[in-house]
Amino acid sequence: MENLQVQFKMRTGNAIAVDNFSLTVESGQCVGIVGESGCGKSTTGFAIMQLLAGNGFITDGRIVFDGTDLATLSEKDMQDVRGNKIALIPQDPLTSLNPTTKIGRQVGEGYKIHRGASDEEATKRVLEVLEMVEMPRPKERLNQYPFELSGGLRQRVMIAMGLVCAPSLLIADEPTTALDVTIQEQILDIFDSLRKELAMSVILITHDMGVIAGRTDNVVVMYAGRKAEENTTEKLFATMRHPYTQALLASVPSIDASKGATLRSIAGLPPDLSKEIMACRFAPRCQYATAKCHNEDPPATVDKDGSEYACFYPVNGPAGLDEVKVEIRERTVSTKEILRITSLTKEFPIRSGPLRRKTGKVHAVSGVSFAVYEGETFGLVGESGCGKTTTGRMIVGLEHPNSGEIIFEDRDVTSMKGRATRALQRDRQMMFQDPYSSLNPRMKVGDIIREPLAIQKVGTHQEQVQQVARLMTAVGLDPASAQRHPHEFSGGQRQRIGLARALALNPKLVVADEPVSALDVSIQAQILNLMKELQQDLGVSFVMVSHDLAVVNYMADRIGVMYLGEIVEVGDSESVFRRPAHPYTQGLLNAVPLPDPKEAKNRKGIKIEGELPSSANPPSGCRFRTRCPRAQEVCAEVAPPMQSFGPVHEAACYFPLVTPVSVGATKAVRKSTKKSTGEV
Amino acid sequence: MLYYIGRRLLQGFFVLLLVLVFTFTLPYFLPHGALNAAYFNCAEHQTKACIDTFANTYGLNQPYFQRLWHYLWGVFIHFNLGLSFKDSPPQITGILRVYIPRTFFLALSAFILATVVAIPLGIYQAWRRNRPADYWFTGVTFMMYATPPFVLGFLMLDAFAIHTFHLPDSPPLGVHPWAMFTDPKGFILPVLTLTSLQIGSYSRYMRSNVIDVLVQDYIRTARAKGCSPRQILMRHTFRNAMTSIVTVLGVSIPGLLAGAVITESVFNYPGLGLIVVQAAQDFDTMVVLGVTVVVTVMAVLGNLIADISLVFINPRIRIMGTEK
Repeated sequence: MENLQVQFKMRTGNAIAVDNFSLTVESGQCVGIVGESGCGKSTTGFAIMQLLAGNGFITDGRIVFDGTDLATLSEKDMQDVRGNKIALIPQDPLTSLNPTTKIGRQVGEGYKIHRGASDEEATKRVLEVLEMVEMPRPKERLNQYPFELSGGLRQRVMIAMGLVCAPSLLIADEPTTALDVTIQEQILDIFDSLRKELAMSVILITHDMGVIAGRTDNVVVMYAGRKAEENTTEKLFATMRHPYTQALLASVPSIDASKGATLRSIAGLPPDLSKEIMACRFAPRCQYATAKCHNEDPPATVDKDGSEYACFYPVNGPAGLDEVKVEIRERTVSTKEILRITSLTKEFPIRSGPLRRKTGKVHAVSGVSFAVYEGETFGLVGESGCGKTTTGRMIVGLEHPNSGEIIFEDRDVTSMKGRATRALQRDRQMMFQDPYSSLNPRMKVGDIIREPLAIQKVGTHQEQVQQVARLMTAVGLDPASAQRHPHEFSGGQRQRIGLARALALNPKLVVADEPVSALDVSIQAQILNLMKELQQDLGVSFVMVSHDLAVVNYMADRIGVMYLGEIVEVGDSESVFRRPAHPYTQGLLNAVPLPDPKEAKNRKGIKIEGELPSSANPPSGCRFRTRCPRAQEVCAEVAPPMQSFGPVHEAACYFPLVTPVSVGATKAVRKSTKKSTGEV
Repeated sequence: MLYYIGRRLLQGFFVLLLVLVFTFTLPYFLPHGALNAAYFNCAEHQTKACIDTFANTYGLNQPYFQRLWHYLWGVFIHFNLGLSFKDSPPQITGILRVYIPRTFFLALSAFILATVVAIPLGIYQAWRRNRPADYWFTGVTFMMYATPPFVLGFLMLDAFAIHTFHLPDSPPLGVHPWAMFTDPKGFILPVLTLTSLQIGSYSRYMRSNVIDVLVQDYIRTARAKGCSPRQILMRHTFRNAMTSIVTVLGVSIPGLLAGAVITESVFNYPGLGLIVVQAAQDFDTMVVLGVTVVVTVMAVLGNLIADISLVFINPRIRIMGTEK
């Protein structure tokens, strides 16, 4: 790619989404493109395929592929290239497959188009590629429809579709962003082995520094449509030159991070590309920027290391500890329980037949117990579908448990309904996952934040408005913007609004359901830091539901690991993450991509294979046994009881990775095992 | 699948029952209640004797629940819709047997013609969206949609029966219901009138459905595979766009019948439309009730057929038994 420029026609003028971008991919090489959302990464990928949206045009530069300039090809010639020589694997496997066409046909279609294959030949080839992507039971899949498969399996189908004509270049656009860490690990491994087997080149587009670190040869960091920096992966992570790269890496929460440190974030947002910028694009957000940066555009420079970067004042390597403001904040967590849930169970009926009779049930949550102390953060982690969100919703009363108990502030709030709950609801609030759909688009932001106050009739209208202004200031928003509507705010700002709404009634407990999963890492850090700060000031307790272990590690004092509706391990975050007892916890930890190329490549340990079993029909005994490398016969018989591994550390496993604390405890466990066997 | 159809039929039965009870009860709110028809028919000499005789003949003075029970029993067990207060033969089932096929064939041919024209038109417009051809057809279809059938009917008569072509201004009368196939000339204008109304709404739906599908991620996937525009339309767009239009087609059936009623009076064609208007004017409530039964059954069946077709188009319903 040479000096590529892509413009989008907008009502307000043309936006230059990609500018002066050059990139070389050697045959068999894997090049990563990394940056925040809106930086032109995906646009670059689509430009290669000539699949830009209707208002997007390549306005300058060349895309030379095997000696042909793709930018000059006609639509018809381009059809021969797409799917044949270059394949694209899009971000979201859930929406990228045709819902009404069988998998076999969808995967084989490209082969028929480009190779003129018959139905039988295509089917044979489809089976081959489905095996290549390690699809379980490939024959069965041919006649299945996309909705019958999980996200991870659908992504395998997408990859198989890309491979069917054995292309020489694969463009993977955030191929694992929509997937769980465990599945992400499996998919990325498939990429790695395929690349070696087929000598295929890969362009891996992602926002995740961790994904880039372990899998790529070269990395290009993109910012605001331009190349900020390029180098080999190892050198880039070790001795980055551009402050943006440095800041991006510093905002990734790490599992190894020391507890008290404040996560670094990049203030502000990427610039508006519809206006011409005659300065360093990163300058407004850069901590090293000088007057020169605000007035002149830094040219691309190549240093002796082979690093190419565009910066007047290059840095040298990752931000050191001295540069990170280390603030050890010792929070005093009281031992007073604010919330205790006991054997909480939630089942959703599956209905079928002419009378919609109950024919089965999904065991979303099966006997979950834990306590949350005043002023602490309790993290709830697990793969999607493990029941962590349902648990959170039951805690705030959005869902009623089928059995079990919720004690909040020494009062049983389990099945309170109607008016009686309203007063109690005040003290338990929820912060939602999706900042886009959880705010009513027709309401003004001030009214959204004020609504809880109005419902609970707190103070006069005037007092409520003042409270809204205070809240907005507290979460870092300008109170003057209360009259604006949600769409005028960015994702990060919207999540601040969501936080302000959750805090409006001065609650004692906030359940935050994946509060940062929809945000860029740089923004993510801002929100997490804000939540920590406010917790300090207000003494509120958080239950943090998240699939991201690093985020939970950064936030939580104690952690509960959930698997298929059950808590398999619970304890202080230090013990759970440093000395996990349950193989599932270890597997989850191992699946987290490390933003360090050397460590990422040398990592060994437990790998979680396969998919989450159906919660309508969970495995007998230990529910994790079907995916556990340590499982033995006993695991299938009786569910293992919780054993103690430390003062506050417990896990449910017969073959834990660390030794339980007391022999007495083990004996008690054996006893109870026998007892329950007898009952069975 | 059979379960699914069974469930739908059961639902349909309850819909019909509700509609019947409701319409049966309505005349009780008229002056003189159920006896209203008796007072109307004895208009010249409203003697007690005349009214009593009339009421006795048709059982109008029986208690409400007894009448209702008799009526429902007759409808569901004997397919007997009761007696007309006027016509002879007074058996409503017999009257409808003559009139239903006329309206049915009129509506059906309009429905088929409209579908055959509107669906390809909608796809074409979506493919060429926001270009001159699309704007042009959008204008035309909006006009078809917005013009009331009687206005269109009279315009058609004026243009094609009087000034040009000299097509017959009404279908042949008094002949058997299959006349449409033996002597189609007379049906051209009424069918066209009814069709044009439907084309307008169907093609609008189809256009927006196809546009919704074309922006989906899986269309981009298809392009990334190297599909040609034609393959994208035929293999990836058509079926997905059909899933939502089929429901619209099913729901449109009562509207189609309502349109037929008006068209019939414009073209002076004795179908359900004419008799229901006549019956309403004569307070012949049982005939109105009978036509209501027919229209309700048609509406329920239309929805059922749409739902069953959906099962074939949308694999999700076929396999999971639900849309979600």
